[in-house]
Amino acid sequence: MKDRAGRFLRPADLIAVAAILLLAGALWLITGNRQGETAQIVCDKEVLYTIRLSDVKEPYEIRLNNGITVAVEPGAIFFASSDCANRLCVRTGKLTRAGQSAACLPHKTLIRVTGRDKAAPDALTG
Amino acid sequence: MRVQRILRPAALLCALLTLCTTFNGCSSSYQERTAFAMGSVMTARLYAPEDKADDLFDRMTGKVEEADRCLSANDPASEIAAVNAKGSANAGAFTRKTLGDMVLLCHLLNGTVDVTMGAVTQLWGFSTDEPRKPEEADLQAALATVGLDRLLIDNTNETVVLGEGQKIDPGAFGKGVALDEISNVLHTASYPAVVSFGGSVLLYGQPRNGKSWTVGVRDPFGGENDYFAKLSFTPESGDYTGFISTSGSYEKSFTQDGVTYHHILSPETGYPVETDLVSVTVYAPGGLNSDALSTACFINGLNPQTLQWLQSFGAEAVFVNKDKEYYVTDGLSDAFSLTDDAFTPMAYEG
Amino acid sequence: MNEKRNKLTALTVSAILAAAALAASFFERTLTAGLPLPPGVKPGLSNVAVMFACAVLGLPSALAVTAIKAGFTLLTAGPTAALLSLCGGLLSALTMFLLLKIRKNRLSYAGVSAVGGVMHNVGQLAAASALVGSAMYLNWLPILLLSGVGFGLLTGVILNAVMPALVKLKWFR
Repeated sequence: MKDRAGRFLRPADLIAVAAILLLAGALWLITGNRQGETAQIVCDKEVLYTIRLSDVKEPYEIRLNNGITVAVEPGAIFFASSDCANRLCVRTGKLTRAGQSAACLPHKTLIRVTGRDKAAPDALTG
Repeated sequence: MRVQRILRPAALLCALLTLCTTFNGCSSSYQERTAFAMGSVMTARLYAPEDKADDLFDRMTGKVEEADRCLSANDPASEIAAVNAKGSANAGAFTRKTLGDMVLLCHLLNGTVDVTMGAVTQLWGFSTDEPRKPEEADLQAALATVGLDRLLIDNTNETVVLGEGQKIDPGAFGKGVALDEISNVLHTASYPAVVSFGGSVLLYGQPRNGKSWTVGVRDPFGGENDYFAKLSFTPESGDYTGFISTSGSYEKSFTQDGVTYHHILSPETGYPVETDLVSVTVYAPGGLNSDALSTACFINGLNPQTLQWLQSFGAEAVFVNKDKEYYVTDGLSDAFSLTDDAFTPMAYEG
Repeated sequence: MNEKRNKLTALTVSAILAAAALAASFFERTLTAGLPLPPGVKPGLSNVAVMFACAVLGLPSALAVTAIKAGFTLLTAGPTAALLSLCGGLLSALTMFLLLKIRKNRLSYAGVSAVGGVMHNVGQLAAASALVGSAMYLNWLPILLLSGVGFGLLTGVILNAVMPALVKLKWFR
């Protein structure tokens, strides 16, 4: 017991730490740096899709079964088209930052971006 | 001796434990839930465990749907819709009580907002997909039906009776009533929460770790997610409740024959109110009050009477005009911080 | 007589360690409340107590301390957090005990603690992923591996520093 307490950092320690660091590095390279914003598509009360915007490499579209098409781009999400009358949702434009949202009220569909943005307020009034 | 050796650190640890408990700042984050009600989006951030959040949110939406079933002017099955259609109809206790609160509030605000404006708002059709400028004759006829004194809330017969052709429009109050109901639910559970409901915000309880709640004030000249200033509130107690509402001419508008009409109608003229203001944000201790006050302040403009109203309701406000100038009432100046330098203070001496 | 007394001492010391672990996590929360640490990244000071239990009192005591800690998390942060704490804690305690006993004298306290810290984070992350039913959280693993090593070394150093003083107390025999 005492010898263990007395000596700090043996060769075996360094090997263990190096192995873990190597593993971390390898995982980092495989998964990529994935700390971006996450987008959600909510229909009524249900979260239909959760998308990591920083993982998006090629733009694509999601056709919902209520006449709405949501477009996803690297780092952005937006309503591409809707068959509702006022199309306010399409006019909101691209969402890129945490805390932003857009809604199509006639179809009860919401897209929003969540993330850890310290500067973003808790809510918006307007 | 040996016993002491064990007891002494044990006592020390107990003391440390108690000390730390008082500083307890659990840093678990929020659960976000969304629902669609009253023609708006309701988003709640609940600082509660997941299962508790689900239950709490269900109760919140339940209350909102209940209120909507009583008050909705658009849902033909609601009690108010029945009153509007027949001119006189049965109304339950909640409808009568809430309608009474609204009427009282309209009286206190000198009829600057008027819950009997339904016939006028219907003509303009701002809540439909095709708003249009009404014919002058129709508008005058509709305007003649407006008047708080012609509305009768009969608690003995449990009915609401309207004047000839009169219609109720709870539009300027509905979300405020809903947020009041939601705050009652939150009071029973006492988890901190931020609820936004179509641009009106309810802050409940204390944010974790002694932080402040922050609310962005929409940039009237920007997009839906743009804000020009932030309001921060640092609650001193766990059952703190604050309501923030905004009335802005940018919300709903249409252009006809080169003229742009916005949706905030004057009960006096029946037309969109002509003002230099583009938005008024009100912070008040009640949801109904903050919702009605933001509309009334927008219509009445920035003047001593408006400021007097705010004061008498214990409310504060931010006014923004067409020239990107803002005015913040004294009680809110510490909470207010500008985030967009294009806005400048208004030269108004209250 | 002596054996009975040792058992009693072990029980008492275990209880003190559990209290110390709770105090350490509270202290840690207050300490890191204002810091912009990524989610899941924390010093894990209570590991000092768990590791002392592993080294001196044996596996049952270490597991008990871990379970008590998770129980307290249940009260303060809810069932999800408690489950994560339990999974991470058990995996960590088990690993540290094995490293200390079976591969005797190969790793120092700092090394054992570093591996323990990493296993704690791995256990938590695995539980979180299982709970959500997706591997989404696994993207977080590299960061948690790094923080586990770093803070693990730190708690190991702390135990290294207090161990001589604790040994001097001569609780056993």
